[in-house]
Amino acid sequence: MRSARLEKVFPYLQETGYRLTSPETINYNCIAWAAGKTNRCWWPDPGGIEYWPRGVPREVTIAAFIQAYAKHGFRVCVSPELEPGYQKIAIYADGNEPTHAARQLPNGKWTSKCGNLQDIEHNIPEGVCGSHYGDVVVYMKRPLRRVKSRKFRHGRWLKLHIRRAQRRRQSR
Amino acid sequence: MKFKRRLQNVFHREHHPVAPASAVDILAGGGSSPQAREYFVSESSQLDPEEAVALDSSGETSGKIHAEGFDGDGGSSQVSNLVKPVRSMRRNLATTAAVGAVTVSSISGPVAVASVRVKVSGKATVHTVSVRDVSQKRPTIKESDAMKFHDLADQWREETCFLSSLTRIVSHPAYREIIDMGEAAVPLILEELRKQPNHWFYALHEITGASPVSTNDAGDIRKMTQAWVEWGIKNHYLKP
Repeated sequence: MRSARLEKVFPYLQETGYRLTSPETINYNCIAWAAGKTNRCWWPDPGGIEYWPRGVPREVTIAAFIQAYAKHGFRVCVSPELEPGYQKIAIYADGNEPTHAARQLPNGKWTSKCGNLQDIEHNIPEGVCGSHYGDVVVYMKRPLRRVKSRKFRHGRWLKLHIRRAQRRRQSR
Repeated sequence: MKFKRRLQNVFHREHHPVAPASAVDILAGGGSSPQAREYFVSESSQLDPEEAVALDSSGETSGKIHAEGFDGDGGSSQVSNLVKPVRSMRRNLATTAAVGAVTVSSISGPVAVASVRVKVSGKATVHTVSVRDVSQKRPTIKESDAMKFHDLADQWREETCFLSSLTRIVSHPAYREIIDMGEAAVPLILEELRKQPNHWFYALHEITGASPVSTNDAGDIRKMTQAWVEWGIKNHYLKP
């Protein structure tokens, strides 16, 4: 599926390839979507209207955005190439003003939430570059989570421990 | 029993300075006696709920005053007569014991600053509050304002729908023009927000100065919309 409106705003999309992956929604924005969150909009507005991670300066600077994503485990990296075991994001800025963020998918393509419009899957991060979002200024990456989280393992261990204790009591 | 304090009817209109004529006109629409008018106390000096006792003069309890108290959570409860304010103190309501007459000292739009007489620690004192005239429940919406608003809102929506930068969304010229419309835009924005949630929160805050959204709900469009719509209904900008 394609969108004439998006192609008009982001002319490179048509050239580089993309597809729509969600209906329009205002519940989250690209900054939240890049961090994998879909329950609220992120933005460092000084008035505190939008969500912004605690302890990170509420200023529209690239440094503040890097700090915000660092709170979610991302570290600055050099290349946008797919690295197994890592999830990457790209921060876009127009000059020094951050405007957008995209996240790399396990297939190496990128996903963006375009304002109040749809989520899209675009082949390269530069697909949404242009007069509105500017260019990619920083790439960041974080290790992908393991399927068995520590919490899960701990829960399983706890169940075993309880069962053993019950058996011991019964044997007495 | 502290919660069973009865209201003391000691306050009388003669104890208060006469309200300016313009204030009376705006607050009451003129004509009726002050005690028969309805006021909406939207803000009050903080009183110790354990000590504050509402005062009222005998025979003047017909005056309805809606006192909105503020508790620790920023929540509020409306009370519509002279007995309820004291009852609501059970819930540690850190305000208001409003009484049968208020004296208006200044007016800004439908909100006026008024003095309310209360008894604190057995001593009658006058506290300053903001009151809203309930006869002006809903600011009248001019057709020209509505048309202007909808044109600007359409333009803003169309030209910012692909942006995530709140900085750019709220600095769009059409959005700024809507903010410049002032209070006339508030009911229109709230109606629009109720129909189709969007980033109207900044404009509402800038025009009204209100912040009904809790910090924990920042960025949650659904909860923010709900909080603002409830605020709009409470402040008579929106119909329930």
